[in-house]
Amino acid sequence: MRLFLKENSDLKETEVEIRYKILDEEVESLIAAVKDSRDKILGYKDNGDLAPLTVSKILYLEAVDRYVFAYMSSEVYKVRQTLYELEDELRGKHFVRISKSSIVNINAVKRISPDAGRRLRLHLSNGETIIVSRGYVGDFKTAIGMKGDA
Amino acid sequence: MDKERLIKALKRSFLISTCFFALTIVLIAVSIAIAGEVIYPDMILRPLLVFTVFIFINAARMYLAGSKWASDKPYILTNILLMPLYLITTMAGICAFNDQMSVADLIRFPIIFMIAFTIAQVIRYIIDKRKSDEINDALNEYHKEHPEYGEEI
Repeated sequence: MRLFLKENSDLKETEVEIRYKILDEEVESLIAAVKDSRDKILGYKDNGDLAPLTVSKILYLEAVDRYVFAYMSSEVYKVRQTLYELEDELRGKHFVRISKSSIVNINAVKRISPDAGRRLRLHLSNGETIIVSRGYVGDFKTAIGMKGDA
Repeated sequence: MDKERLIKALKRSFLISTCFFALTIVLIAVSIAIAGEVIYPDMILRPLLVFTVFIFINAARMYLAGSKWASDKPYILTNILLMPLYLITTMAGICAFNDQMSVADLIRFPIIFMIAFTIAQVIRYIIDKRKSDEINDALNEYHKEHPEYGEEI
């Protein structure tokens, strides 16, 4: 395998092109590594250990008091960014804000059911449920391709 | 029992009840001023008692509605199960402002309340369910359009 690196100041963002003869294990691991590098945020375990979190594996992010937590299917990590920063960073990565304190991964949503007060109840892939506040129902509908009327 | 969630429910319920209590007092004051009558202490005391009861009943409703058990049940079910709490609040309100309640009224009002409440809940739920079914369809379309992210998380 040969590696070419070219600097081009005209580019708006870094581009990675992989040329291959056959899509073998080596190429696949290369693709996975590239995908992984653009799909990570830093999380912290309870003991303070650093843990890179794959964005697509995060079910939802929630701000509790002054901290932001990332909920995976079975683990929870503390994240040092604010919810606003994460909202910006994860825009276009299938995440949408559903209340003042939470952002959900649309791909983690298995089913939606109505909740009292014109809210929505999202049933996630790990069996948890999370509420879309009335004020954010329109944003959620827009994010999944519906018209944004609440 | 989740102590934190209970305190949160009590706080929210207190805020809601306080708003409604303030609004009721203003309404009483305005109507009495228009009628040119005198405000008696029991006119303030009765609403105060009703809203004190309401704080605890509403907190209990919030606590139960937010429980893990209720989270995977249709909200209409939890609302109907919690109907007695709404009924107590309504009856306390009616009794507090009406001194001439007969036994027949005490039987009639709860029946009317329960029928009206159930019908309103069913209609509301049918409308909400129809809307959420449309959103579910859109969600399924979304998952189909983004198969690269469609893998099981």
